Amino acid sequence: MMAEKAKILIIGAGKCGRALVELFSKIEKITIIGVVDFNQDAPGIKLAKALNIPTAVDYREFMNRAGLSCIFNSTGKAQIEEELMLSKPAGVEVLGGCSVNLIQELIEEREKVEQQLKGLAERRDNVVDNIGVGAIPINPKMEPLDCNKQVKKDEDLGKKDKIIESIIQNSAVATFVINSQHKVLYWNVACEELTGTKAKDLLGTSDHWKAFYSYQRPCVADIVIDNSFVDLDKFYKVYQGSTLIPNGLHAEDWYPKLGGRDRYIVFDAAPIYDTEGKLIAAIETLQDITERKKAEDELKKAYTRLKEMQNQVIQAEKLNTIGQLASGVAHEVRNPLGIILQGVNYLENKIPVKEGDISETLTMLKDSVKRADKIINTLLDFSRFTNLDLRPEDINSILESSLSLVKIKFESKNIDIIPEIKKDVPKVLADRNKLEQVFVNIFLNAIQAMPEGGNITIRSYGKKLEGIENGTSRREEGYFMIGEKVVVVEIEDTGVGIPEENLKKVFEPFFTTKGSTGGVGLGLSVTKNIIHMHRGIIYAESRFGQGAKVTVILKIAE
Amino acid sequence: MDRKRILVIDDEENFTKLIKWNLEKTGKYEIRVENSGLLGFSATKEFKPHLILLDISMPDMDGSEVAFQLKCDEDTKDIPIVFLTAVAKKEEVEANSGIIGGHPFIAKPVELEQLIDVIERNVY
Repeated sequence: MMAEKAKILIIGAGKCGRALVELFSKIEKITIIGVVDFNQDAPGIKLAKALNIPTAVDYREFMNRAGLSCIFNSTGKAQIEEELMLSKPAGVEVLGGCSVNLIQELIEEREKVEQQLKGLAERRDNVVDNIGVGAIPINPKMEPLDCNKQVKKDEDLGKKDKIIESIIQNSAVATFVINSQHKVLYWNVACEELTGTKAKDLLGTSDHWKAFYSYQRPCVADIVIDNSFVDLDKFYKVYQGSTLIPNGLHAEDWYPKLGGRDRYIVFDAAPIYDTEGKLIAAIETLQDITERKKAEDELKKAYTRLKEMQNQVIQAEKLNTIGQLASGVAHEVRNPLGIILQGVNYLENKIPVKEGDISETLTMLKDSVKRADKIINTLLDFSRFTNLDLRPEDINSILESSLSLVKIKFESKNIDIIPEIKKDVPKVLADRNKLEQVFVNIFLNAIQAMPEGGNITIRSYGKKLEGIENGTSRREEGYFMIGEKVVVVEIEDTGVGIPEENLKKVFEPFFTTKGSTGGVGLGLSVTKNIIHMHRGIIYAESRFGQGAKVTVILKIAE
Repeated sequence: MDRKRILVIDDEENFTKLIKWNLEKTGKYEIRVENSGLLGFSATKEFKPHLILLDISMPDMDGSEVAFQLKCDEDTKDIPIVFLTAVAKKEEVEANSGIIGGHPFIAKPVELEQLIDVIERNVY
């Protein structure tokens, strides 16, 4: 039926007719002998004229042309189709209605597919080709082929992809995306600005760590991809799971040279799944909160300073209160003591010498007055610095006399004394009685720390001060100069030790672990006061459960 | 030999009473007692003591104030003063030494023997 070149006639040059003209004009084996429409401005007529295809307002002009094999009726009018069926020459096919519509739809679909392909090609140019990895399919689940629907969908998806890409690229939040193989898919402009690393250097690679670290290690997005939340401690000091996204991760840290300066960065990474729930990528955002962090740190420091000052004030207040209390007590107690003593003196002159028991009673009264007075003196000692009676003293002899005062206690508690005393220790400028009080206090504390017995090692030696020892305050540091010759006394026990948090507190007034059974907690604080009066240093070291060591550093006598 | 006149200014009445008894018993002293700083100050001119035992802590007019007033008066400025205190505020006395002079002080409670010793060393 078909000759070498099929000759066709197109009736109707509307949208559909035009499509037919366009389609068939491109097919070599087909010749359009004419395009017919009563409207000579119809798009199909215009196209035909442009392609030098004959046109007419009446189809009958072409009806009897030799070789006409097919008439396409794109008017969609049944009346014309009937006319054609009656007037067509024998052997000429008439296609209209559904057939032509089908052709038109096919043509339109082809156009859409072409558009779609073009869009995909562009995307590929932008993303896929450049980086050599697949871009994320926004909706990778393919639905059963329904041409119209699919074409429409793909068109929407193409638009969506573009929009999403634009959103990521233009977001003010520094953002990057890696796929499940840890390859960088996106590295937006804000991210370039923040890190100082260009997208072109990272896209398609797994080098995103280079933007932050000098050695290869995972970023939060990598951790999210690998779901490896176990080793987080190795990588971040501050981190937590996302409070908003399951399997999301939040971390923060300082970066000394990120994008040219010191920055504190907050990272948030979230996994990206396809519709089947498969992990395909992870998105990570970076926020520079350096200023906020610095302000926070400043605030924290200020708060700590304030706390310290407050403690000092409280401490000073305590001491002040103790001072006032001591003065008050001294006044209230010593006046009656003065009366008692004068009374005793009066009675002593009244009684005959032979009345032995009376004079013994009076002696007892006097002794009691003296004892009470001594307690008041201790209290006053504590509350303020009394003048020291400083003389060059041999520290070893002071240690010996202190030991002799508590020797009985050592023996009764089954405690051995291990002296490691150097013989040629330089003399110290000291108030002998006060220093004895110091060492007795330290020994008594050591005894209390060893209820089951143990050893006390006593060391004394001279040395050049190499550095300021730990546990000292600034005031104490000012007492000595590096290189100054000092005398060191160490008293080490094998008792229960002091918990770290108590190491500094043991010298504070009213600090006691003895509860209601022991003292009021003034012993070691008086000790420290006395050492300070000597412009010396005292500190304690201990590992809880492994005994304690108290070190006293004193100036040597010039 | 005339007994030395000692003025004791202290608000503790029992204390001053015993001091008076004890010191007068020695036969060496004539004691007058005043139990307030103000009264003690006014009694000084009339009694003309050879020495004053002066308590520091007193309610109306304290010992340092009394001493200062006495120093300002031509008639009383040369009378030796021995301070008595229950609160051994040696530094307080020292801090005021420019005004009240370097007077000795006795901390309560004090033995009679020690008290006499201090008096004897300071009385003229």
